[in-house]
Amino acid sequence: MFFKLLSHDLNNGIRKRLAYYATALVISLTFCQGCYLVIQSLNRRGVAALSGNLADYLVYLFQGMKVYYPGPDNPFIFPVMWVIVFLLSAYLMLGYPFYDITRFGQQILVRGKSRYYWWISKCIWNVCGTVLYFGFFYLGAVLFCFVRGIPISFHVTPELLKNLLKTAAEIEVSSGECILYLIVLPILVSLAFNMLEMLLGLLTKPVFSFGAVSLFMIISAYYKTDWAIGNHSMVLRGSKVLGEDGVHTGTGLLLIGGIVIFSVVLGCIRFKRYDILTRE
Amino acid sequence: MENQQVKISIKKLNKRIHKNQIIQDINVDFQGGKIYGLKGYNGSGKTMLMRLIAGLILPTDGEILINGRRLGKDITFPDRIGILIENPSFLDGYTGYENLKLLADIQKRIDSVKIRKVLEQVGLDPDDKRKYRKYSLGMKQRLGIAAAVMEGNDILLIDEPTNALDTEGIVMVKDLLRREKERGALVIIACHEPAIIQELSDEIHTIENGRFVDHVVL
Repeated sequence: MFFKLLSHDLNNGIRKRLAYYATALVISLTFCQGCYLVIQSLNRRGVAALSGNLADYLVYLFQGMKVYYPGPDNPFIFPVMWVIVFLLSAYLMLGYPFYDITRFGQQILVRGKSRYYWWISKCIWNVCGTVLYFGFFYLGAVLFCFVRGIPISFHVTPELLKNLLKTAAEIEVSSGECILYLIVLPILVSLAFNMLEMLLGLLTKPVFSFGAVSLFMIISAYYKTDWAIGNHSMVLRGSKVLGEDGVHTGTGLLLIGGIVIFSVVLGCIRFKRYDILTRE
Repeated sequence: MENQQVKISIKKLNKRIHKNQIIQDINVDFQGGKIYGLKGYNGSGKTMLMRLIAGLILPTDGEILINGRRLGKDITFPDRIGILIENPSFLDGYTGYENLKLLADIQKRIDSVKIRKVLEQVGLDPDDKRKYRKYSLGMKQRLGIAAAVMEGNDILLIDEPTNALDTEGIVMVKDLLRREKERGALVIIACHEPAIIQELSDEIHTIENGRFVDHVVL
């Protein structure tokens, strides 16, 4: 029974919505082009004479924003790329569960006989959807590098990154760390946001849950703390850039795991008493 | 025979959503082999009562017993139930047959031959290649009725069964519901049209402001 439910969700919530997820690919290509132009500009000005590689591009895409200290000498900054990537992911994962439960999903649920299965199935759908979204995002970066003849490598170019991100020190990251900071953490942070959003959608309305998650993202951008999980997906907030002052990845992973587990468990409890009404 | 033993007992049922009292102190028994009509104005609570019986919403107070088992406690949803509550809703990109097949595959109680037969009974062509999104309102309603009855359920909750149907469709629905009753199913219908409810029902309950105010045995 559970696998029927899951198959329904993966089919209708992912396979039939592939085009929506594929917007990540367009966003990625656009941002990579932006990065390419910045590197070209650095090369023209003689600041750097390097073309970079896939890892450098991903660092650029997931740089986030430096810690912001408001003041007359510090102009207001906003992490456009970071917000777009994570907000779009949250937006894409917003509608389906609530669309499903107010329509055809009711028929499935009544036949499936288990509210618990319904929630667990939606949680798995959320994981798959988030991974797929980032899959398209990385695919975009790989395609861009392939077309432009940029090496598809996971060895960052410290000299280039220093200029690209305007950091004081050169960023030395191993290939393994690249995978952690540029693939694992962004996906996990986004998953935590998306699971929390789905849970809040049960407690309030989906539109409010999206608003709440957007607010958490904004807090992450302007408040550097381990507790604001968005910080863990920003290269500029990590220990590789800020050293001791950077956010702690271990704490981040614990928090993310906690949020995901909390969302799954509380969602199960809440959905057991959730009133399934009409398509409002 | 199994169906004739189906019994729904509703005791001191109350439902409040936010501050609105939707259902107030309903006490009633429904039995298999009968059609029960729910009559009342828009917003009187007919649909909410059906949602409560289907297990889609949960009582604030009171209980619903399906064959002695408490809904929401002993069971999450009634065992063999077919519903058409408010408008039918199916997957746009599938044909009528594909939609029913998808639903039937969950419990695997019927095969494709039965699905085709039910589609024919409601006046739809099982081989129609048109997707659900291309269906007219009447066709959607017919498909909704087919989904509710196809598995030979013990309990049928049909909200506005004649919505969007032409004269021939109305005759078809009446015949179908009578057959379900004869089979032993417990059928509850809610309908605006007094003539249809009068013609089909064995008992009629009138709801006003979430309360049963009248009960007629025909």
